Amino acid sequence: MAQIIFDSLIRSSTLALLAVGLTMVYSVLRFPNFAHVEFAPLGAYVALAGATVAGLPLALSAVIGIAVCGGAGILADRLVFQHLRDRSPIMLMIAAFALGIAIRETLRAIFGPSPRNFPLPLQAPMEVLGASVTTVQLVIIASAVACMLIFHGLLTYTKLGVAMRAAADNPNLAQASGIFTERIIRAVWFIGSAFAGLGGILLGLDTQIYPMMGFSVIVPVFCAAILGGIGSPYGAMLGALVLGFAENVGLSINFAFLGSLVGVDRDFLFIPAGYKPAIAFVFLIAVLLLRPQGIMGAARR
Amino acid sequence: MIEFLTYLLTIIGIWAILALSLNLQYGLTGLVNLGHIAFFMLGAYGSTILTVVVGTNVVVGLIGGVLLAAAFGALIALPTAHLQQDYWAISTLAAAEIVRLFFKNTTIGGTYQGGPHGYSDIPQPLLDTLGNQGFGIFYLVLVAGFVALSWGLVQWLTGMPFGRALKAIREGDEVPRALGKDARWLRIRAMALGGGVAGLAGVLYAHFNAFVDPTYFKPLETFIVWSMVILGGAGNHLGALVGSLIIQAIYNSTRFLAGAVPIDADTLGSLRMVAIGVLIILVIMFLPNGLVPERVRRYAHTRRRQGSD
Amino acid sequence: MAEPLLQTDNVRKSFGGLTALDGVSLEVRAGGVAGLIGPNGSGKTTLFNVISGFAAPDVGEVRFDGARIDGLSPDRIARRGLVRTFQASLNPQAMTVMENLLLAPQQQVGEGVLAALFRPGAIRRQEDQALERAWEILAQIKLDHQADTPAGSLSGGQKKLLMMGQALMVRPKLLLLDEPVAGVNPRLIDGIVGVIRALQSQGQNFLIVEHNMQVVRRLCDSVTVLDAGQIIASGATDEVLQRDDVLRAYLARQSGR
Ligand SMILES: Nc1ncnc2c1ncn2[C@@H]1O[C@H](COP(=O)(O)OP(=O)(O)OP(=O)(O)O)[C@@H](O)[C@H]1O
Ligand SMILES: [Mg+2]
Repeated sequence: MAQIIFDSLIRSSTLALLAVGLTMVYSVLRFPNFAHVEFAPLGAYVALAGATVAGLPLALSAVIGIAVCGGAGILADRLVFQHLRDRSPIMLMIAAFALGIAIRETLRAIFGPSPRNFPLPLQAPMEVLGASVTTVQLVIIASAVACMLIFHGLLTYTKLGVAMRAAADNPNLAQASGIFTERIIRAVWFIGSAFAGLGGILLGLDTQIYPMMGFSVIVPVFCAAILGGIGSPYGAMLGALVLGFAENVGLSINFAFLGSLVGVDRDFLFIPAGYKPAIAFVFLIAVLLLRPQGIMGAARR
Repeated sequence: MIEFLTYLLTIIGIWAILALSLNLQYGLTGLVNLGHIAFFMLGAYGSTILTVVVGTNVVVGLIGGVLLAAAFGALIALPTAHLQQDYWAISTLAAAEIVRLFFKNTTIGGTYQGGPHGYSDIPQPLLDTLGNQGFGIFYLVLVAGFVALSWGLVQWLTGMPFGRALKAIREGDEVPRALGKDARWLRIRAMALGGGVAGLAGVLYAHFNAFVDPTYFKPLETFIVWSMVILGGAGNHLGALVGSLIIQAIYNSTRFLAGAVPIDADTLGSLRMVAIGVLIILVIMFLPNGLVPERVRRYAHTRRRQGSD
Repeated sequence: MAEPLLQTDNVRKSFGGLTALDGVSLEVRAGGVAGLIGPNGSGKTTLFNVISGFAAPDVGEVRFDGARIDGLSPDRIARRGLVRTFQASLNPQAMTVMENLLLAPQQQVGEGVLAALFRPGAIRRQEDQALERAWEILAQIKLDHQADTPAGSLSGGQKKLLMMGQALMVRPKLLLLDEPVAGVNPRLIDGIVGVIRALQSQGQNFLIVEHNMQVVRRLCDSVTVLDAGQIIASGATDEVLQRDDVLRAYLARQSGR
């Protein structure tokens, strides 16, 4: 039980970092940025290169990776999206899809297709409240929580935060009143992409670093953002939490009781592990059909 | 060389059918379907399971594959009325992955069939009679025939009042609905038609390749089809053909380049995707209507000559 | 007396805290041009939305041609013979003026996939008829020289005319026009009034929202005045437009803008 909660928290941490950035860009520029998740492998690979090639301490190279992602976000806007501000969201979405592939395949060309690991000594898991946990995993959760707190500060005390909250409350008004100056847009790209980079580094610490690591979580990330009402950062955090638990708890529920309802008499009826990725997909579709505005988002059309 | 050329042209043809079907859905109707590869997969798997597992002949497989894909198209069109365009787009991506995961985790047939193993020995019509080279040419002609048929179908429908209604809902539901058009039903039909045509491409692919497994049907493939439509010119069916020719040429160029440049195949494979990605961004930025922009039908000449003109 | 062609019964509609329609009971009888006037924001367009199925009333009923239509989808209401235009142009911009007009007629054989493939003759005949009518309408709304222009390139007034042209292609039992002459070149207004009058004499029924009082006087046999979501007056045009309370409501709002 404690183990499931713990696994869920780790999953939620990485999802939250990615989903918050996605939702930020959405709230300002009003398009689903499919390239967003590619900042995850970018951050992870830069950090990896810093730690292995340049031989820097891992923490320092992680900071560099995060900063590079933030810069890359601004660059993406300067080079591509800035020139498409007056286009339909659909065109921006396709352009983002193309950019995402370009980033991912560039990384694959440089670092190769096979998975890598951060240079960490092998760790013996310790027992915490009955769950076996490694220090790295504690670091993952702690840094995600720290980031969310910092982000909360940003939202509460800065001009950027005011603008973003206004946008989440009333998207049309925010667009019309032009509170999004180019400076704020740049800040949003930087912060959103940097979060995604950190998310990627944490994902890499938890599992492995590989070119598809971003794209393979695109649906869970979108699902978390939409679940929480897209455009709402706190909603994205909550969405990530819900989804992280749904994925892990879903696999550990014995659905035999459902089987007996329909006449299938089996002692064990689990969702096959191969379907784990499908949980987010099914969740996403269900949420879209039942509550297209998200759990927290205000109704909008 | 001839062999490679027939192979390449056949593949281009199959992808051209895919591009035409997406153009019907996106170019004409404005439906941002990011799960297009699912139709391809359903066509391929539908026909494969019918011919390999059930043991029907290829014609039955073809009809079954097309119908399965068309039915899926109708199904995912159902929620369009309730969802914003971008939400629907994301859910199509998810739906396509669910289809892929389903086939990846389900073994239909024997122990080493289906699931991650995929299916091999998919019947290739007339292979025994014609021999390898003869089959290659026969299949190319067959695919070319289906390209012509698909092109004729979408082109004809585009010119009909049906196509006009699809174009109208592309820019919003209000006016068409105020005029009595059932926008939802139009979208369902566009998705089913496009799905069926894409399913046809999948059937053709399965019986050409003789082998399918779930790794062939990843979201990346959907993007390839999209890049064909965007490059060619959304809304113009000739553009879809041009787009598939160019994108497939780039995609397969690594085979020629492999010997010529000192880069390994893996890296080249990635670089060609970078090239396609950058190309599409440039097209969106600088050539938004594509290489062959949508054509406008002119009516001025139909006006009755009157005294003053 | 026969049942009115269109009837709303105690229709209420609010958006959040704002009550846009506050118990509106309106009747439109066949055989005339009815007007609906009222200051900005009084709920006229909202009432059109409710009648045409684009918005569901919170409370109340809408009856048209002897049957309840509230709860039906806009396209089904349109197919029953009630067609509306929009205050702002929402026409497909990439489609040409002529394509917009040809889109409009209902029950087009060629909108079915199978028919499109197998009944080219019938489609041909319908298209020829529609084309002929479209040219007549284009001449009336003075867009005949722009048949092949994309709707997006028209001026605001021309877009208005295009929308009305579309509605005229349909020949519905009742046509709801939302500010048909707003933004239209004054020189064309006489023409539009003429077109509407001519159609009326052929038996076409209208319900028109319009701010231009001269046009209302020339066109409408009866008017209903809406203010803050409530009907404050209703009757023969001349009488209603002379009433003090109507003028006051109107002037107060107009100048307070
Ligand atoms: N979808 C909506 N959401 C929120 N408020 C709305 C909506 N539609 C209309 N309203 C409000 O309802 C009130 C009535 O609006 P409506 O458009 O019906 O007025 P109108 O009489 O057509 O005005 P005008 O003459 O300016 O066209 C206005 O206060 C408007 O702001
Ligand atoms: Mg109005």
